[in-house]
Amino acid sequence: MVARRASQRPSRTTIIVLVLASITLITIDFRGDAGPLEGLRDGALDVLSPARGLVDGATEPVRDAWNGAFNYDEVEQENAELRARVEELEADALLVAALHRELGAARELIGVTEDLDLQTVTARVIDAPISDFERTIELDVGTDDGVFDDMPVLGPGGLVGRTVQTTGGRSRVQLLTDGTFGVGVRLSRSGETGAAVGRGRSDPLEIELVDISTVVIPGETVTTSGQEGSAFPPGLLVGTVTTAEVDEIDGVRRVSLAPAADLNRLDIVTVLRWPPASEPAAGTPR
Amino acid sequence: MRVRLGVVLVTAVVAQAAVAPQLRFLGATPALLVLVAIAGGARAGPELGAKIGFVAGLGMDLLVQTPFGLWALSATLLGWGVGHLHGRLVAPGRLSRAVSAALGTAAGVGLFVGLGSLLGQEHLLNLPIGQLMLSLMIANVILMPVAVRAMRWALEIELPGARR
Repeated sequence: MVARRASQRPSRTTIIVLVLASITLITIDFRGDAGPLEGLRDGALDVLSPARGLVDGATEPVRDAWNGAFNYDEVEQENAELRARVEELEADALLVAALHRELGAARELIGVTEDLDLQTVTARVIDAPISDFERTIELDVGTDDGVFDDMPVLGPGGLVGRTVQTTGGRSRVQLLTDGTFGVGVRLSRSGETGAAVGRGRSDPLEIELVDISTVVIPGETVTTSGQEGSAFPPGLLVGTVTTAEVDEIDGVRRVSLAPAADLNRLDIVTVLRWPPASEPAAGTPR
Repeated sequence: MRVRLGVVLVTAVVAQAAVAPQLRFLGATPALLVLVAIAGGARAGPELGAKIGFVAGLGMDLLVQTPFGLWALSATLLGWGVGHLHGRLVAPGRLSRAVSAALGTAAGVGLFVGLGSLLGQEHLLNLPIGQLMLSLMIANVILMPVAVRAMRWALEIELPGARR
């Protein structure tokens, strides 16, 4: 009995030391003094980048063959949808060009010279999430391309998320359905503002702090509010309202919001270099 | 032993980052580093199992955006727990490994989500935990023989007395 207790002592000491070490790391992370820890994460992303690229490249033919053999109908349907989408976007591009000209003329007329002139970086989605406990994707652009942390990312249809970890040639994007994602939004009908937060996985977002008297109709579009201090410029399409229920107890209206972008089929996305002040110094590669 | 164990742990981190996302199984990305913690506990007992779990958890913390140290804490407790219980619920053998892989995965996910929610990550509770747990359990039961073989290679020579 005594011998057994003695043999358990090192095990208990070890577990206590390791648990304390873990708690210390968590505390450092929570205190926001995680500079070295973030540096380690960035370093790991950079170091593992070639291996991930290699595996991605090596398995691509197998994945394509697998999809071709077993998901042929789905691939064909996706192609048809993409062709239709290209035609739709080409028509939109013509319309946008015409509107841009009109806007320029109108701004000139009223003497507004300030132009945000937002710059964008086109990126390819190169990796799925490493873990199922967060909603992220990875892009093939990074600080070398002028992409930095906290920049909005747009996909076909609307807002996709924001960059949360950027290294030389890669960046990780937190999708707007991630449980820790939040964005200031404006309802199109009432102009009411609130905070849309992700709920994890594919669930819709929820808008908080919407006044109970506000009329909200399913199908209504929701855009970023771009209020002072917001990480997003105003007017980016976030999604459409799916349900709007009154919570009598809390005295708020709970609004569910379906993302406008199809987050499960992201291939090419656009990173918005916002805020413009986050542009790298002159001479830095873009 | 240290070098071999280091090789296994680094390989597991690379595999988690590069291979696991391509191997999505029943809608889930295999949690290879959780499996390493389980195999470590099963092969080396509670003390070394906790150490292996801690390092594997740190590896996972490097790859994800959840609070740094949360995976380390969960995997430490997991390695220690599996080290204590492996072979006690079912007689040692293949079935015992499968049981350890399945129950260990469920415990690992439970620890991570439970500790995370206690530490302010309540959004983890919104995930489809049951479905996720089931997918990861099946994946880890399938992959457990590989993990056990790797752990045996890492531990056997210098640790002839290690539990098998």
